[in-house]
Amino acid sequence: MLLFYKIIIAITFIILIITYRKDKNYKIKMPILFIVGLAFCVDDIIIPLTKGTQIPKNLIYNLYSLIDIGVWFYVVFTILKNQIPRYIAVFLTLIVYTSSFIELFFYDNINQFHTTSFCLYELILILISIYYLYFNLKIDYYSFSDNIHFWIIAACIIYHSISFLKFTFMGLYSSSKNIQSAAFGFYLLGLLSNLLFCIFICIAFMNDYFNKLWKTI
Amino acid sequence: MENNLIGEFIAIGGVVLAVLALGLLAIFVVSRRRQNMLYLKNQEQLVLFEKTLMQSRIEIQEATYTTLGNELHDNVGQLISSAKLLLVHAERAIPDPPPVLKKVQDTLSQTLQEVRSISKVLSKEWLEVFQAIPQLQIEIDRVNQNDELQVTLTAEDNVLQPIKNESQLLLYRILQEAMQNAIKHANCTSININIIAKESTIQVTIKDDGNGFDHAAASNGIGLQNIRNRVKALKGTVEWLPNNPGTNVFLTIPI
Repeated sequence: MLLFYKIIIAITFIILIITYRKDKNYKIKMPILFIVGLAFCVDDIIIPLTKGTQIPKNLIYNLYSLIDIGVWFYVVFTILKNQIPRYIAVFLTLIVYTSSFIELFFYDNINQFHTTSFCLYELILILISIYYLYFNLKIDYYSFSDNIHFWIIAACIIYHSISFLKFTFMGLYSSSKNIQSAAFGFYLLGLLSNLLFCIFICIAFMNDYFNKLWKTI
Repeated sequence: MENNLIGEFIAIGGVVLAVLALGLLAIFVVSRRRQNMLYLKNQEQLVLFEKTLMQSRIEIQEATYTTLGNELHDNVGQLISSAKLLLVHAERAIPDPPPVLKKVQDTLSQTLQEVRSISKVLSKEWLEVFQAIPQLQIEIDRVNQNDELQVTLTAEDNVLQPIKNESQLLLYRILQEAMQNAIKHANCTSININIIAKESTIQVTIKDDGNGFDHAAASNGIGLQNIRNRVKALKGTVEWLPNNPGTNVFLTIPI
C-alpha cells in the first residue's frame, strides 16, 4: 500500500533535482529540496533498513517531523515580507518546538508520534499560509510568473489541511479499536495530501518552464 | 459495517477539505487575476497619459521656439537692420566720422547674423529638414568662439542617418540642453561629445571636466526634466554619472 506513496516522493525528488536552478528563489528551493530528499531517504532507505531492528519507526518519524517543522517555518519566514508576521512566525516556531518537546518527553514518550503538537504545527502553518494569501490580495500587482511563493503556499495549505484532518482523526481514534478499520481512510488521506503537495512543489520548481502560461494569468 | 463507515467518513472528509483548500486557492487566483488585469489596464492608461502629456509639452516647446525664432527674425532682426541703416545715414551726415562708428556697424552686423542664426535654430520648419550632426557642429563652433571653453564632437557624418528627422531634432535639443547645463552650471573648460551606433542603438556620451553635480538634488530642475522627457519620447535611457572631474551624461536611443 505504501508503494504509491514511495513512488510519488521518489519521482518528486528526481524532478526537483533535475529542475533545481540556483536562481533568486534558491533560499526557498534549497530547504524544500532538502526536506523532500529527507522524506525520500526516510521512506525509501532508513525505514526499510531499520525493519526488524530495535529502532522504533515512530522515533525516526519524530526526528523527521522535528526537522520538517524547522524547515517549513524557515520557508514561510523567507516568504513573508513584513517584519511583524516574521517575528510571529519565529515565536510560533518556538511554541511548536516547546509543545513537541513536552509531548515527546513528558506527556507521551519518544517512541510515540507527537500527534497533538504536530496538529498545532499544521494549524499554525495553514493560518500563516492563509495570511500570506490575504496579504497578497491587497497588493496592487501579484506576478505568478515572477515568484514561486504561491505554489509553495498552495502546497502547504493543501498538504497540511488534509494532514491536519488525518492527525486529528488519528488522535481521536488512537485509543479506540476502530483505528485499524480507519487505516484505509488514513492511507487515502496521506496519499491524496502527498500527491497534491508533490504536484504543487514540482510546479514551483518548474515555474520558469510555465512562464508564458503564468503571464496569461 | 460501522468500522467501514468510519474509514469512508475520514476519506470523504479529507476529500472535502482538499476541495475546500483548492477552492480557496482558486478564489485567490481568480481574484488576483482580476486585480492584476485592472492594475495593468490602469498602468497602460497612465503610460498613455504620460506619453500624450510629454508629446504635448514637446509640441508646446517647439511652438514656443518657432514663435521666438520668428519674432527674433521678423522683429529684433528688423530693428537691428534699421539701426544699422540709420548708422550708415549718420556716418554719411558726419564729415569726419569717428572710427568707433565703423566698429558699431560691424558689431551690429555681427549681432544681426547671430540673431538670424539663433532664429534659424529655433525654427521648427527649418529643423524638420535638418541633419543633427552638421547642425550640432555649427552650434559647437558658435560655443567655441568663447576661448574659455572648448567643445569637441566625435561622430561619423552618417551615424544618425537611421533616425527620423523628428528624432534627430529631439536628440539635438537634448544635446543643446546638456551642453547649456555644462556651460551654465559646471564651470567646465572642455566638453566632449561622442556619438556612436552600437547594437541597434545610438549611444551618446557628453563628458565635461567641470564641478560635477548632485543629480539627485538637481533632478527636479526643468532642464533635466526636459532631457528626461525627450529621452522618454525617443524610448531611450539617460544616465548622469560622475566623471571625476565633471559629469558624464550617457544616452542610449534605439534605432
